Amino acid sequence: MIIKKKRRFLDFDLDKEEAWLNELSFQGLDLLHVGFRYHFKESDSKEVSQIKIDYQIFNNKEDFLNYETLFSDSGWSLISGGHHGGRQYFKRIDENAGTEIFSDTSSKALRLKRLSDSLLSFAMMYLPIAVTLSMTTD
Amino acid sequence: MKRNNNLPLTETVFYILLSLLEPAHGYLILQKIELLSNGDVKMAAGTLYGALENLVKLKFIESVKSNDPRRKVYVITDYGKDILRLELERISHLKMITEESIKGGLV
Repeated sequence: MIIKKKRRFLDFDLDKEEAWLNELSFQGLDLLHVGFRYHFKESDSKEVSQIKIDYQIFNNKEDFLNYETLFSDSGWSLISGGHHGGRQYFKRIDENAGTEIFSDTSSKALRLKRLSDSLLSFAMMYLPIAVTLSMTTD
Repeated sequence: MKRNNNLPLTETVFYILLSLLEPAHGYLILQKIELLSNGDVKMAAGTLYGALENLVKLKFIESVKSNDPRRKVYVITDYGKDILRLELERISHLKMITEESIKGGLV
């Protein structure tokens, strides 16, 4: 059975989101897809999946394909995400793979920077609309 | 002499440049680094991806034609080789002065 859960778009703490998804996997809910909501499959398997989230923007499909292949070669399968960019959800598929997708703190810090940079440019994009709206309501 | 402001290199960058003296795709780079470091450095995919993007921007490495559309192949540039040589000089100097201090019984 597919279970859907609401997504909190304003939650920027990716570590917290990872921990929450892993806790749900422990309870038997395996992540299938992330769209406007999280989609989970109920599973009897005792196996707990390890989910990690990256944030990336890609120039083109080729860049995305190269990115996805590097992760799958390294034992991490993409569950949800894509060449349009944004949050990329990975599940560890190889027991021999490491347990992290970042092996140092500086590269992990850059994940947060990419996320906040794109949220900022998103906000700037909508600023003229917001300004126009506020002016026309007067 | 003014030092190149890209120096010193991080261990991650040094190993990537060294791995790319011959063309390689992402996962092959990770394997080469593990081998070169005697298993000490196990770089994760997200860390390598970000580093490669940055090194292409700095023109230390470039992507070359790949027969596999799923895997980009990278190689070090001439500028990247210059940087590697400058870094080697820096490290060699550190090694030399430290060894002199050891001989002098200071360490």
